[in-house]
Amino acid sequence: MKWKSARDGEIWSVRLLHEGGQTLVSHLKCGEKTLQSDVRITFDSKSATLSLDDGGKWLKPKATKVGDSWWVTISGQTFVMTEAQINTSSSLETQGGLTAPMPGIVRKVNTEVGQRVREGQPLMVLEAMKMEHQITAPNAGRIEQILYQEGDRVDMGSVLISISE
Amino acid sequence: MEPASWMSDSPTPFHSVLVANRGEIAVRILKAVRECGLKGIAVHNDLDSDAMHLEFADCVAHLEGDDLSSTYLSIEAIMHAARSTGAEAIHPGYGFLSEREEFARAVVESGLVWIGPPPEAIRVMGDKIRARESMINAQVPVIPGKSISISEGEDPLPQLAAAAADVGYPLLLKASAGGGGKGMRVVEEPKLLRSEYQAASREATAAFGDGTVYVESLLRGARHIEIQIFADSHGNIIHLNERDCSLQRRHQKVIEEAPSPAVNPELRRRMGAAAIEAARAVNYEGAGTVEFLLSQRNEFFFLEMNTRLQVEHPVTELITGLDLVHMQLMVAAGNELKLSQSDVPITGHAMEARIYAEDPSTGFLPSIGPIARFDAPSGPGIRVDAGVREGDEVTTSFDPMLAKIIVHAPDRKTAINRLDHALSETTLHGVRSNIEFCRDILNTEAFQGPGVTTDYLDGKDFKQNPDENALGLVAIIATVAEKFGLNKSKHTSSNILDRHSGNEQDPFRTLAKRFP
Repeated sequence: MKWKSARDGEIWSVRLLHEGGQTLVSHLKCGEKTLQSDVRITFDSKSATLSLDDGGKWLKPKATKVGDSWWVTISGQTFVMTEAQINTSSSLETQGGLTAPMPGIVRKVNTEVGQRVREGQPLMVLEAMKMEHQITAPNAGRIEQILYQEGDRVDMGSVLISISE
Repeated sequence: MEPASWMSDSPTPFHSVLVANRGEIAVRILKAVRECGLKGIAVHNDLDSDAMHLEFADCVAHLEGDDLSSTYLSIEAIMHAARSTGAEAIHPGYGFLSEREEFARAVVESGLVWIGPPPEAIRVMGDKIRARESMINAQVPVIPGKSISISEGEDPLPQLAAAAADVGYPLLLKASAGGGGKGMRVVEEPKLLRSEYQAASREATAAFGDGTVYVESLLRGARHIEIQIFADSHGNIIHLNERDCSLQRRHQKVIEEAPSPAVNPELRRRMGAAAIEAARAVNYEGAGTVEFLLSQRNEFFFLEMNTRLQVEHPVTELITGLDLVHMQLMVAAGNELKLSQSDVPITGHAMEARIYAEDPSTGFLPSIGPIARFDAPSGPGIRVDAGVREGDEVTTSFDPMLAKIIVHAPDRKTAINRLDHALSETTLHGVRSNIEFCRDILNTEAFQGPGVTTDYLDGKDFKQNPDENALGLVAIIATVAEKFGLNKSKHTSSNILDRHSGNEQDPFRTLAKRFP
């Protein structure tokens, strides 16, 4: 299976092999790089838990499926792996556009269509959970379109403003 | 359900308490109310009809609406709920209406018991400028600061510039009605004065319903030390030692502890005495916190007084063995404090981490999602005050603080270690949190040494790239989990485990056996 790691954006590819009640790894790749793993996995169907033997180190991970992703905690660290689709257009970003980094409400629009802006210039204020966040220009350019106005609710990834180079 | 005998014998007994709040603090208070044999009344708005705090109530009142201002922030809606449920007392918790003088007054005037300080004390301390004046009169040292009064539509710059000239840069813009880092902005240079003022004022309006902002000098390299005080209606005031809340991110407390590694018994005595003077100056009653900044030269300055129970009150409870909410109920019923200053214990070291739904890897943006899994830690010296449970949804409608993990240990070093382990056992899936960030802080040399100052996190980046081996393991685990359908098993697993029959290997099997 192919996974995209939320931490570093790398694509991981894994194939398993079953042998005598245990599961082994027959193939592990990070991007184009092939890696070796001698980990042995035991699945306990009664408690529905996994245990791992990683070269003598015993690990008991916790894994929960949320949407297309697996949230995995091992040794107190939590990671998210999302199933990687084939031929995926991976990014939410639109060319020259600014997207909402979180869901929230537009509190203020500090710019107007046609205005020339410099890099880092505050363009919009988003509010979520009673805290305000500045949306700033990623590059210098001219404002082409403002897609939301004060008081509008926006979802994460919504294109807010488009800027020409 | 019979009220505890101390309540029946109180000068002004009450039998039910409406908790005008939600989340972990509503849970905390409702539990205490019921433990005292009183009827616990919860409130909720349209978005909260299945919220966790309702599980701990004997009676529930619905506040119609899905925004804060017409529900949890509406005096009228809360008072209506109190009347319709026959509540005899109201506990405001923290945030929301807890420090609104009009609310306290409305409660008192309608003949109900207000579990909080007198409205006048809230008024004086809620207005930062008036509070300063009153502290100066009481000979409590204060930080240089200045008030401004901007009317609707007026350009704030002239007044701001005048105040800035008085206190100097860097300065702090603070919501007059503020708390919790909301409506607070640091201004390093004059050109940002106007925009930061507008942001602070808007945030303050959204969070507290009052956009008034005030200007204060920013003291760098200081610690945030606060003294918990408690006063009864008979003129007795004691302090319950200090808490050190220096570990803050953008003025939002993250890790709190008691006692402070920077406070020795002599300084504790002096700060305690100043806090008691501060409380006496406003005829305080009930639980309150006097916040100070402690400079590197061990001078302390009054910052503000919070006229309510604090988020971090559990660390004080753990080192003193006291239950502050019980004490609030007792004092509100007109009883005298049972403790004198010399009886206040201080045992071991307590530390709290606030678990926020925010993503450190995106600069701490609020994160949302389902709480698909929440495994809380447990064990000796571990307390969890949570406001959410598995199956809940974290949205942007409410405060991002989900839970507090609090530990108690014989000494500071052991407490740090215990909190680190407790956090490593805290599993939260479905929504990003600051759990690992808290652990990173606990493991810094600075924190493990003498502790930190309030600007410690400014400009610090704890982002670590995990090693390839860990990520490889995670990819393998995800694959195995997917293949074995772990997701389907998660919620059925407890059924399998709870069925203690049939299985030959089950150690509890004999319990079900019947012998003739």
